[in-house]
Amino acid sequence: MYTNGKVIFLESTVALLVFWALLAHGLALTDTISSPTLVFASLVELLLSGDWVVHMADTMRRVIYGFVLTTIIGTVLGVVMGMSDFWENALQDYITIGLALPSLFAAIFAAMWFGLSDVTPMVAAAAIAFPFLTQNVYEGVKNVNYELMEMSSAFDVSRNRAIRRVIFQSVLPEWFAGARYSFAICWKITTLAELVAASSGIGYMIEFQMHKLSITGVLTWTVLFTMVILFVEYGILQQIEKRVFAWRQSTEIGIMGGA
Amino acid sequence: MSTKQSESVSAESIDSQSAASIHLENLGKTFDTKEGTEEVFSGIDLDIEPGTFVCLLGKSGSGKSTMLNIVSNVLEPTEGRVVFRNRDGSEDVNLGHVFQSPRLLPWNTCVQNIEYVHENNPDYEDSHAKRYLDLVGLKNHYNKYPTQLSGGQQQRVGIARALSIDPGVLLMDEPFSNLDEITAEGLREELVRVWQKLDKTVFFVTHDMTEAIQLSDRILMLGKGRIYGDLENPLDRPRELDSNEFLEFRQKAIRLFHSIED
Repeated sequence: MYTNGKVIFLESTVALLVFWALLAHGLALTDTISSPTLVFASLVELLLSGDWVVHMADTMRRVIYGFVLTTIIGTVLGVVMGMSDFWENALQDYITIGLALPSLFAAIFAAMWFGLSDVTPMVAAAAIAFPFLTQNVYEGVKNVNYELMEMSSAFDVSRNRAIRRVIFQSVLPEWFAGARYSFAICWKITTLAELVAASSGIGYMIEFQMHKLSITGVLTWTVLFTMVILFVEYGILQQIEKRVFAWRQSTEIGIMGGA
Repeated sequence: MSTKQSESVSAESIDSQSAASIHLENLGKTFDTKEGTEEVFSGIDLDIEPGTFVCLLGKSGSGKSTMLNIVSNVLEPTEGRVVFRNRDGSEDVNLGHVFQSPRLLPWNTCVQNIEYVHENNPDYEDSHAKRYLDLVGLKNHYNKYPTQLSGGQQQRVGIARALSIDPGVLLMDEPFSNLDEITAEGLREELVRVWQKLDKTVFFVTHDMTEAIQLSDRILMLGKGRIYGDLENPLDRPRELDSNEFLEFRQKAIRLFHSIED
């Protein structure tokens, strides 16, 4: 039996596609659930046409705007809450509410305020995503190993160097985990906001295909969206994580032994 | 610590500042608590000669960590002062610290951990860190992260880091108490070997009498707010833990140690 995660993922994907194809073609449900072959053909056609580039670029731009806003607000509030009891008490309940805020609420309110502009998905995404980053950064700051700060002080290391080499590095794993999660939320909320109020972007195109009652069109754009997310997750974010957090990834104590 | 590793270490290439003396002058410390002012110790006068290996022994709550923190400049004394003096009379003395846990930056390699404490050393090069890692038997571990080292190896990096700033005084706070006895035993031998090669004064806090006798030239006992025991260690080095002389001196030291309760 294969236990490798990637093999299991591949196996489950193939099983899902086979099950979907059997259901669609075997029960003649292609109008209702489309089929892997129809979606694949439509995807190839879309990719060759180049139409996707504009919409993808628009969505990406909005995601990045939202993520930048999320990062700024989330990081600043997390650091402030972690370092100050006053701000911790003042903001903790709001962050808890923010964590539970419905995505559609943010998308609709942003659309009502900002209309058909890039600001709508940016604000909607940031409003939903930043509490997750704030919470992670806050916990990261709280968990800084103050023995390392005492060590720094004992060796006359300057405050700036200690902040850079101890506090920043301590918080980085929590920040990165929070940022990664927030980035995924930004994707989802941006497309949701595009669905509500936009004239371009992947969310808009999914909504456009829905109005045409084209399930194949909806699934095609959804698959394209998923492929891009997987590329960003595995091709970019995981590679960064491997390099930045190399120190966490291997322990050889058992092999090496000794005093 | 294997003998082979010990033999491979060389200290000759290390230029070392000479040991400094430590002087506690009428030292006292009190803490304010809810119940009022609590005195930890008071009126302590002590002179420690340069190059001496001193162990400060005390029971839990005796104030030995407080005293070490004052000697380390981490805490301010309520009264009196601590003076360090080089052999030439100057008072500009580097203090090296070895803590109970190694306190290494887990995201930095062994070399980077040593580099971290050399902010004010414009001549620092990684070869400097490597020389001290060699000295403590970590020749092939320069670029390993702390998570890739055993507890004993991590503590050796901590010792190398402290020695690398070329301290006149090395301050050690129960550095082997978190290690298993076999590892701790190896590190004690290693520490004595390094101390004998480099001219350093060592101020070592412990609660372990055997450790204190094995390591020190002089044993100080702290309790009830004062230094009540001050023993010169008469044993020659290397010291055999099961020799009659060792066991006899240990008995004598233990009697004195417990006399505070009499």
